[in-house]
Amino acid sequence: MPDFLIPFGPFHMVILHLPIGALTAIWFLEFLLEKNDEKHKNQATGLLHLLLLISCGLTVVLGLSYEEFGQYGDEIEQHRFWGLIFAGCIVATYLCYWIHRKLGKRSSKSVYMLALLAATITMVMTAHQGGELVHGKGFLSKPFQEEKRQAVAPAPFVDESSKESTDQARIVTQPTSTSALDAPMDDVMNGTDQFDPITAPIAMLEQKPQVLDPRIALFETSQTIFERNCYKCHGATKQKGGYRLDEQHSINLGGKSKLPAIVPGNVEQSELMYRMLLPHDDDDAMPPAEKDPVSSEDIDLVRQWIEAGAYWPDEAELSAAASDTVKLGDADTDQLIEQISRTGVKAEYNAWGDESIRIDLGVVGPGQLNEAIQQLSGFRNKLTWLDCSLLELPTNFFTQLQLFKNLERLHLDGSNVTDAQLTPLSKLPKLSYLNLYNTKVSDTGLKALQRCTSLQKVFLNHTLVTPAGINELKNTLPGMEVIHSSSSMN
Amino acid sequence: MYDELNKLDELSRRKFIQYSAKALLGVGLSASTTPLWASQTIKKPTARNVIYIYLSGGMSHIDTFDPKSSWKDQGPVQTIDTNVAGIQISEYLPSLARRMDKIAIIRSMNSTQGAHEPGNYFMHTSYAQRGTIKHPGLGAWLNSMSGKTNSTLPGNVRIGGSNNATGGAGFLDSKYEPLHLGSPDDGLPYVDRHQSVDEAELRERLALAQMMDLSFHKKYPSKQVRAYGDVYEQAIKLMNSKDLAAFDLSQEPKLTRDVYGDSRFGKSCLLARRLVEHGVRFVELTLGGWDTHNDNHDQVAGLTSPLDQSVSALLDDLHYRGLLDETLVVIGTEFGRSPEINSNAGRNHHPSAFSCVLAGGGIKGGQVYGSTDASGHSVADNGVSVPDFNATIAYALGLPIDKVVHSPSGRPFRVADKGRPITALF
Amino acid sequence: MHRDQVTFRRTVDRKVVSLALNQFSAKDRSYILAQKEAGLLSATAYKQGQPDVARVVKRQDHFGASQQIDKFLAKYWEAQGVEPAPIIDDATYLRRAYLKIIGRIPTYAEAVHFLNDNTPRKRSELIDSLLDSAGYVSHNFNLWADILRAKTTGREGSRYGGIYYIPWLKEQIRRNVPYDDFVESLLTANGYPWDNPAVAYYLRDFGMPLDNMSMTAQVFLGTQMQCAQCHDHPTDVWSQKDFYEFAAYTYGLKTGVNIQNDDPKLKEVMHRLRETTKKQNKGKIPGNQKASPMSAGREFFDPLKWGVVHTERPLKLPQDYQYDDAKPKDIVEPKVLFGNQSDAKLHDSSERVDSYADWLVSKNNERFTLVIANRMWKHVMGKGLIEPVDELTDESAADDPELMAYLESIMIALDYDLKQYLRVLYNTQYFQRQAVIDNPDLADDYHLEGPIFQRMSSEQIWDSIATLMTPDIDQILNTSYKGNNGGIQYVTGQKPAAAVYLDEWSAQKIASHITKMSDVYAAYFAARTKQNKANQDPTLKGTPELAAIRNEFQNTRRAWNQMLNPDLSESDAGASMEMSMMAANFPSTKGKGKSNKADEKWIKNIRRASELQSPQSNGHLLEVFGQSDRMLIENSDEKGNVLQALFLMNSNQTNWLLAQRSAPVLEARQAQTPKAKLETLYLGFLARKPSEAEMEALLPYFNGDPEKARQRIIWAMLNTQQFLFIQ
Repeated sequence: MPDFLIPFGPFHMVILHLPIGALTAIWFLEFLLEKNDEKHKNQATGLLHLLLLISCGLTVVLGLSYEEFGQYGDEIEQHRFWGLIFAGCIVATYLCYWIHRKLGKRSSKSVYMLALLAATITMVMTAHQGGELVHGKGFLSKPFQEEKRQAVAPAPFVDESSKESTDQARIVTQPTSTSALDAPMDDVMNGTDQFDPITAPIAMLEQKPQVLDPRIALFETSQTIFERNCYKCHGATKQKGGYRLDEQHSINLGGKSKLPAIVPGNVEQSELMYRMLLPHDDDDAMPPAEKDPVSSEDIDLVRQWIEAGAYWPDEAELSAAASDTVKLGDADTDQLIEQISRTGVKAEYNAWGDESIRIDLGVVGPGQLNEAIQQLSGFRNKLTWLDCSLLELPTNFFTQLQLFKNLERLHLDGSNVTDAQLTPLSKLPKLSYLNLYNTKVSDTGLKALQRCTSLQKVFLNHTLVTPAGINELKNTLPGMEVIHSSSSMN
Repeated sequence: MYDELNKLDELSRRKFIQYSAKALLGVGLSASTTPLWASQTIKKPTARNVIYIYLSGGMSHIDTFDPKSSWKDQGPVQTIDTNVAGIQISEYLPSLARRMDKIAIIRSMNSTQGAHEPGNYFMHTSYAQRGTIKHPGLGAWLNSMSGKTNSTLPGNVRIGGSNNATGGAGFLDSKYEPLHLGSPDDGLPYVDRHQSVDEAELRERLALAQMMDLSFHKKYPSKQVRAYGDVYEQAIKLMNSKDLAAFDLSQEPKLTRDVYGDSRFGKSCLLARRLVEHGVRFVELTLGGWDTHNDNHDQVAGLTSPLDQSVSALLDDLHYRGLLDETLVVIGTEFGRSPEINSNAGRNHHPSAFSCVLAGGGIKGGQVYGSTDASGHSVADNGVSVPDFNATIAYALGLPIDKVVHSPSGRPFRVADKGRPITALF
Repeated sequence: MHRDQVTFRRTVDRKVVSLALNQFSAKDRSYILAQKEAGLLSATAYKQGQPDVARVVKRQDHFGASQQIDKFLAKYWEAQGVEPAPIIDDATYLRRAYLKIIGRIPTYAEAVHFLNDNTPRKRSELIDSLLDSAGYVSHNFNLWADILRAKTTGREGSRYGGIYYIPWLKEQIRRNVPYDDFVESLLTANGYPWDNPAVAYYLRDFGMPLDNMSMTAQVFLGTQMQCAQCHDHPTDVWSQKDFYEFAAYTYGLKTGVNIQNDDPKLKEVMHRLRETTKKQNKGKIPGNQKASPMSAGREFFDPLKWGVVHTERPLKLPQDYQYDDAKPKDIVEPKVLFGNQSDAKLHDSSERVDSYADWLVSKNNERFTLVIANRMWKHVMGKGLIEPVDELTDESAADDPELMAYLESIMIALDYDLKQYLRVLYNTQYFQRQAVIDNPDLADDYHLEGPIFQRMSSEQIWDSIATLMTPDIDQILNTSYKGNNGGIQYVTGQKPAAAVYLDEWSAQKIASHITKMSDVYAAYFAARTKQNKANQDPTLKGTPELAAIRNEFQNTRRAWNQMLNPDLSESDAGASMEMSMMAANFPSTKGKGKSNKADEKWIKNIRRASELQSPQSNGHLLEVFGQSDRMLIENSDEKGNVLQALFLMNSNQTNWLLAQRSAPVLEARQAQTPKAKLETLYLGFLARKPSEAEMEALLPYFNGDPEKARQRIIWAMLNTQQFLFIQ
């Protein structure tokens, strides 16, 4: 390409619309005005064909000159290729058209029509690839994928049986993909009102438990890392050093350096890996010195991804992946939590993600304790932590405690618990932590506790117990730690 | 008020579910694909609350938790045994020495910031100070990520220090800004309605104010204005809270108050315990004056006596009440002090090595992590960066350390930047 | 003509309001003048004893500059393809003008007069009268106190000279000293704060010359060099060497005077004391654990340590200097940051400092002009054309470079006369445009459509509430601050005794005087040691003898303090304590009775923020609303927090405003109809008339108990957001 053209390269974007227009116009004339008087029609079509020819030529020339500094990856190759074919077709069409006009035979007409058709098809191809260059891959289908993500059904109930499937499925999601990051973040865990792909996974699939291809997991992880550290300069917007990292076909060829950035399965050969491992202040180091370095853990993840063949799943696989996840908790429990929360009580899933629940009765709204206790019974074996500190508890409450077979941790500190009421606790096979600080419990109560074999920690400070009682308890349950000023503290 | 209040509960609960989802998915994934992160899988969060004791000015590590008996510039301070064999600390901390079995000392802390303000900022946020953005502190992270426990009290309280101190809500929603109490014994100021005003009247008046502001709010839909909406909502909840007693030290028996000591700091510790007991999740207290450029040893001796007494009292109290298991007690400072004694018998700033302390909240007591060289000048092994330290706290609380959170301006941040938790401590 | 102030005394409560004549409508004005001629009206009588505020030069052609600015903006909007914000109505303008020029809302009277005035140029006339009023000083002082971290409390207040410095700062603003002269006087200051209050600028960073230098670079050159103190600046161009070379200029200025050596006369005094001490201790010098004429002398002369003196000490590179362009511990010669003026040849410290100051404030120093021009634009419009104002680099570019350049040219043309510069900005049409929200979360959605929509600064809030209580608040000035350090009283405008004696008495006389004093000192010293022991001793806890010991200590200390501050009577000291207490303490929530008393005190002591201690202590409204703690440059903040809401809803101050006594209430009581009452309240608190809708909604309240209605409405207005924000 002659240099003087280079500056005009960008006009490619403008001119290219002319041939499209012209071609369409021609179709119109050829079909709609079929029957009109040849004379005017011919003139019009003739001119249009000329215009088509010229504009097409111009587009190609500018296109080629734009290629130089367009900073596109190799996808440009295809665009160029089709562009040239298209140009060819146009010339052909032009000739056919005149031949047909001279001869006016049926045969010549059909040839001309074929040429026209070919031209159109090639045009569509070229145009689409051009479009992808500018607006990014799959720009046409983008809007619809959004839809796909949105459509997530609420989750059905998970029973214990599907536990291990849960565990496997847990392998799945991972904060990735711009969409996660677009979520408004003035409030970190925001997303209650609107969909956030990280939390999106609140979606069923316990029925068809499936483990996601770990390669995709790896892919997504490394993507996040790239996003954090690379895309600003090597993404859709900028391609420093002529290198672009956010599209599959461009990753494995190098930019200026011409060294292959990523050689699937071969870390040593991968320039990208090499540069990430360079000392931070090295001129070739990536990210460059002024940017934040990538943590060694993150680097290692990228390595693993490359070793595993730098697998790059397609849209379909990804969107499939996005929805293969577990919800934690279930509708019924949500329901229960919602109800009990109305009484001011704080109920929440335990952060470690099984369906177990912790409840803080302590903060119950005034006069709502009884109602709260009512609600409480609903949780049954889901309840693992229960905090009743500083409460005036009704007697029947303690008998009710037996419902919670999985209760591990029980705060009764500062409550009105009495010796007698401790007896039912022996029916809690998992109870390991019992807080009786500042209560009226005495040695009689401790006798009752002797039957709670699961207990590991009991807090007895500020009670009526005597060292004797404590020792007796310790003797029966040697594994248990008693916290009491007489026994501990040097 | 109350149904509003429940709405909020509802909200934070749903957030909580999502958060847990994020937590386990975000990290669980890596655990399954990479051994490297496995260490960080959130098993059970070991802590629910944090009492963060901040020693502003820079605590001299070698006169407190990392003494060097054989070092020439150790000065008059002696080294004493603790109740854990093989661990020794400074004689300035006799009672803490007797509770070493509850405490984990990190002796290999190191910071990149050598001046107070940036150092303090770094310690609180894990990020270097920038003109263009304010980073959130751990208290704000905790409350925004896993919600409050007590829906009427603020989830984040700061006792003492300055109102403009670092480590507030940063770019997070301003409702996570810590409630700042100037002094521990004045209680919570301005919470009582004027005697002539009952709750109905108050509601009436609020309605009036909103009416007057209608057009104003339409005209200026600014974040700052909206923030005041939240602020008032919280304020009303607070006024109606049945847990206000939490702020009132006078309700503590004299005996307890004596154990904590009469110092402002002692009172702050006691108040912190009361607050945690009533479900405040993050309490920070400041003990200032550690910038001992002159007469280091006299000053440190003076400063450690309330520190030693009150923190010991706090640990015991939490222990007996069964709160220590789920309350992480942190002693942090911006940097250490130079092993060399300067011309004014003082020690200068020393970010390259210093000590911090963790206790309770699932931390295995009676251990020392990392160490410094013979003079306490630089880290000898297991260096712990400031972000690592904060990551450890976040890890104990079960926060998703690797979750990238984007500021409203679209910049990516994490709870403790690139910090990695020290799982050996648990 | 409109220099004249007209003073009204209201019969109901004998409150005094004084207004500039030009704030009245033409008709009122001629009437008042007539009355004055006739001697029926006391004008300006009230302003007796108030220091004069320098009048702003009122030149017509400066309006040209204001219009020029508007032209630039118009061009800018066109280029950006944005519409400017609309011009605001009189009421909104009134409130903004008062808040932005003198830092408080207008009083009821001021509001009425402006809104009734119908002369066409009333807006720019208002600007002029406000610029000339005492409020201007108060408002601009707050700006500089925040920038310069000026304190009246703590050691910065006492021994480091804050209590001398702060009145001096106000004086500079009152006299409208040109900015370049002002800065020069800070940078070239030396000596003691009572002789030259400006030295407090260096004393503020006592013993930290390098930090002080990075502060200077940041404040006056908008250049951040803190990083370069320890290593080359990672993102900016500055190398550690650059910094040291720049710091070398002022390194000769030493904070801290060695009283044994630096002053010959003092040296002689100490020598004599040393001799007497020896005599008393049979030829030996006792350690510090023992009182002696020497130690008494040291205590007595303590104030003289806290000064700034020129020395020949050279600046050396740190021993860990890591770069090749010089070796560690090399001596650094002074060199400026921009341009290549090097003063290696200058060795005399004062010459160096002068040369450096000249360079820094010279008109050719672009950053110097740029910073102040931009800073003042921010002061008026809420956001600098370049942000942040004090973190400039070669890359930083103004939103509208043309405008920025023009502002600089004005600043130079006006010879750094800030008042005139501000007058130009206030007179722009731009200043009359509706405030625009600048959302920090959206990178560049603000295109200078109008001034920034802001919350009032904590000082503006406090001062506005003060105005509601005392309409003539601007007249109440605090001319004298007191500080106390090591028993020494520091009082604005007064030298400590040590300094006085040193000037007036002979060395020999001083020495003998102190020797006499030393017995009192010895007694005090003994009592102190005794008490310290007793406090440690558990057996003494709560016993009468402990009380006795403490008592003795108190007495001996009082005696000794009288020696230290001979010219201060007891009552004075007491008073000063009380004053600082009141300024600092807010009624606590414990015990209504107690708090009410505190409340009363507080009301008697009500002053504008600039006239209180700086900064205010914890729990004070100023602190609650984010006043700078003076630890960092420009450290005030405007975030909302729960305490603010609680304060506005429940504080005694709010309740006090609802009660009979606050100015608008009194006005309202004069009003006849409910409608009139309502209007009065709106004008008083929100400086606007109620809208139709509001009328409709609120009037019914007056059908019931009007007291209650008024209280509700006032409470509500105080708790609206529009009260807190500047539209």
